[in-house]
Amino acid sequence: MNRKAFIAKSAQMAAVPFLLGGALQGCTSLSDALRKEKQGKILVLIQLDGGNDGLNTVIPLDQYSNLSNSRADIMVPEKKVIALQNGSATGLHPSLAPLKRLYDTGKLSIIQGVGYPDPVFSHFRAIDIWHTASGAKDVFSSGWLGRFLDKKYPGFPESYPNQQSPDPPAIQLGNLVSQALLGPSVSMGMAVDSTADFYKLVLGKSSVLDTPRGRELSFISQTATQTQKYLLSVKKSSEAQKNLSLRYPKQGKNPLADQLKMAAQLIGGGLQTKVYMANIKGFDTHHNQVEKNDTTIGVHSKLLSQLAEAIEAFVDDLTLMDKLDKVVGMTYSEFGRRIKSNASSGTDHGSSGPVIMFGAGLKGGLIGSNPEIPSNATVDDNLAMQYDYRAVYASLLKGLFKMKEADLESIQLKGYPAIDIFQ
Amino acid sequence: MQGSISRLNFISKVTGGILDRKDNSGKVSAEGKPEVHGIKSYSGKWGESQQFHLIRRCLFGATHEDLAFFSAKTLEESLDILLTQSPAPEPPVNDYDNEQYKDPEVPFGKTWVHSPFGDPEGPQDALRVFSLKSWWIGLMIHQDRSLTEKMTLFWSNFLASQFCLMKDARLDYSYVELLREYSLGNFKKLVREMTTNPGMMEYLNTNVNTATAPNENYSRELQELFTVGKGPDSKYTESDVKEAARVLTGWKIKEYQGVGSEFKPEEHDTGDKHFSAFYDNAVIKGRNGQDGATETDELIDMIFKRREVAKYTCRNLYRWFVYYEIDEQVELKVIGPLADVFIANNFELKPVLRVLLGSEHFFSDLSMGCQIKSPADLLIGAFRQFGEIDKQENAVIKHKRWNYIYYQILVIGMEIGDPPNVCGWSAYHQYPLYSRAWINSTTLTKRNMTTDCLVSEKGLAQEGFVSGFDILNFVKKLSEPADCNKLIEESCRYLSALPLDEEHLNTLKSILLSNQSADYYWTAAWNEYLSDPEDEVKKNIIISRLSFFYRYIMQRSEFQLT
Repeated sequence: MNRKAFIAKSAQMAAVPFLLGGALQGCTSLSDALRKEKQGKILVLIQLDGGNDGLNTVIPLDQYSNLSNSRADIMVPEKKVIALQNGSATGLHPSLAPLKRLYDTGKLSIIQGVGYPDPVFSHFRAIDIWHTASGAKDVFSSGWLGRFLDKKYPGFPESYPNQQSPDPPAIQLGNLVSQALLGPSVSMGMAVDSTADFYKLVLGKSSVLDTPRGRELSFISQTATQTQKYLLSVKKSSEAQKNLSLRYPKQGKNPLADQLKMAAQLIGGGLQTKVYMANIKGFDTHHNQVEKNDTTIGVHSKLLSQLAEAIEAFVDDLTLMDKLDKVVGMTYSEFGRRIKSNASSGTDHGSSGPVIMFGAGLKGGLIGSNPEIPSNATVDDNLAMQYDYRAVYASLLKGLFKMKEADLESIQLKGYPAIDIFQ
Repeated sequence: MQGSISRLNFISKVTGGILDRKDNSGKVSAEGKPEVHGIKSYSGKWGESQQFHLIRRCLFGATHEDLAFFSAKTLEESLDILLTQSPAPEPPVNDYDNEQYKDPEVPFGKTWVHSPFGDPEGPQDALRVFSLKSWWIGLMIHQDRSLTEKMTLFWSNFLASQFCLMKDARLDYSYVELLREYSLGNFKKLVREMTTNPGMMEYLNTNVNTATAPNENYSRELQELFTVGKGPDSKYTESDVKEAARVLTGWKIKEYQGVGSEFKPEEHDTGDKHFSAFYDNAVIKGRNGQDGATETDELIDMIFKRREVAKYTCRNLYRWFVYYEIDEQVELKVIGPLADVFIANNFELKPVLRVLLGSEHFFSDLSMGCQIKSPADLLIGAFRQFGEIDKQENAVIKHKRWNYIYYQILVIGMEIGDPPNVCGWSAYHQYPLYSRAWINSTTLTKRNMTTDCLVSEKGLAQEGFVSGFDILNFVKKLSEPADCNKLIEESCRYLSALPLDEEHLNTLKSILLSNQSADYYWTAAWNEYLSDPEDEVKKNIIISRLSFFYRYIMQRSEFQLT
């Protein structure tokens, strides 16, 4: 073999994992109309970081007295709980009034008791389980959405973006790209760091310090902005649509609402991104979950009201943009919390909890039954699982993205019983 | 008034600024511009910032061991150590025989550098080149605390040649061996040796330069690129190029058990050679027989009488070790005085490097953190800092692993041993971009993708080996890995010459804590792992977060600077 050719060939082979296709700039040759037309279904995930107290979110009214035996100090008074219907055995925390409005219009479903066998009580491990869709004892290195998106975007990131797929497969709102988006080799998620960075990205602003290192740093940062393969398409979508809802709180008041507001703008602008991930921190309420003199307020109540406010504004925005039929949203948390409250007006790590879904194509209503609360729950008592979280994932992928059972196998989600979520 | 601040305080103030959150440009002259320091010996604070700065510029990256080592030395002692030439390494060996092909000349495990070149049709030579390249990578990753490796790479850029055009791995080796041997030696001797180095003779056609068919290739580059350069005061003429080519006629590559060179009087132009006013109208007398070879020594003597040689070389050293921008102030206060040192020491490198790397200028705040990492700095540095995840000592595997690193460096723009042309990499000579040429939207993306992949949890699996950074090895050397705040602070200090801003530090913490607010979640996870390091689940909890964590640090623009 000719020496130069041999070297060139070997170089090419070795280099393959890192070489990008030629098209580094976002491919925006599709007309806007066509882009919008090509926009498929969209999944929006909201992670409740820290382990949400499901029993203080979706409240089993028929178990109220048993519950009072084990967590009277943190319970919302029975009268303040918003019953899902008149005389219903299930109610919502009063801070979730906006979600009740969505529930009433059929745009909200609640799946009770979502978890997995042999629940794990460590945050880190439980988060990894939920994100990688593994069992309690398995270790998977890729994320469930990463594996799903790898099916939809075969060979990513090589030769992406392209004519068929001009937009990022997934967008992480907030600055930490979730492990759920980690594909077999690379992350499928583009981080839109924060609202400040988002607008910096869109407007292209930055400041420079006039020293050699300041100048070089600024040069690299500017180049970094340009390297964002999807910058143009994201920018284009954000320019194509303004937020329409008046329900969003002021910028900076509700971090989740800020994130969903960006997502709505991009969805409205026709971005073909299939998955958005948002999150809201602070659910690890070991102490002072509620105010001592008024259990309807406090840390958990505030988080729930932010959650509900953000979702309601987001749904309103998408409705006004005529996009709601494309979108399904879902909340999840690494675990629920213990039935029995602890000694410091809080709750410790527990097992399963409710998952809330919203969107236009859903059946709506309550799926599953209220958990059974022992009459005198001890610290060792936990809620029983009704639905495996992987069954929820699989049902979502099948219903929303029309994934076949065979595809689910390679995403490691095969064989879970279907949950009847969609109309 | 600046004068009222004691000099020592002042220096520690400006040089300590690098780790402060606020950028501190130091003393400001009357015109509002920061003062440019000269080459006076630095006597200010010798603290961690200064130690990191010296290590990062003289070695590839700064390891824990490096910092511990140099922090126990004075600046003078540190320079003594850095200026000590590393012992000559064992030459590369046949580590490439495989099922399909066996080198017919050299048994497995033996060096090929002195062997015949006996199989031009087979992949023999290409395999030897791979062997040489991975050997070079190994030497850099396992460098001792000497400037030898950084300077060898420097010379391969300054006195550039390209393996792919030398057509024989033994020539490639003879060239690299010479660079390394003289890396901290005498520049004038290096140029003299390079002139009749068989690799260079093949590359720039000295081998075919004869009395009847002169070839100006080497003669031109000798002046334009290797010695007097193209500076404003370098006024050699086209005629000088022709006359120098005549001096160099007669040199031939000699093949015996390896490669060398010899002088053949019958090919030599024996006429007198007349040089221009730039060279004081020097005449090199034509000589017959073996005496003709001494004309080459005369030529080198004549060229090295020009002050331009020292200035041009010092500018190149400055760009390599300090910063690419050389304005009037730097020319006046640094380049000129350095050139004087170089000339006064008869082109010995150690004195000039000692002055530059021990100068007030080198340690001034303006010189810190402003170099864009070359691809070698980026990856060799990171491999040195973290260690390789795969530690198999098997020669074949090591060869494959280092070859793979070679290509990772190549992919982000630096083909070591094969710069784009005889000018070397544009990062060191091409106005106005200079080292910014390393970074564009394609290469920056590839830099990020490369480091992303190398910190992945299990490394990049290849045939028979994995390539990757050993992040646990790195973390275990930190003072308190169980404390996430210390983990963040120390990791950033080792990996990034520039501080990260608050927002990024917060994100780093969120990564370690999986968005929880209590630090003890990390502590607990770390201690769990330590209690049972073989437990796959516990290890995975730690590794998955740490790989995200280091990936995030390496994705920052600050990480690209050194």
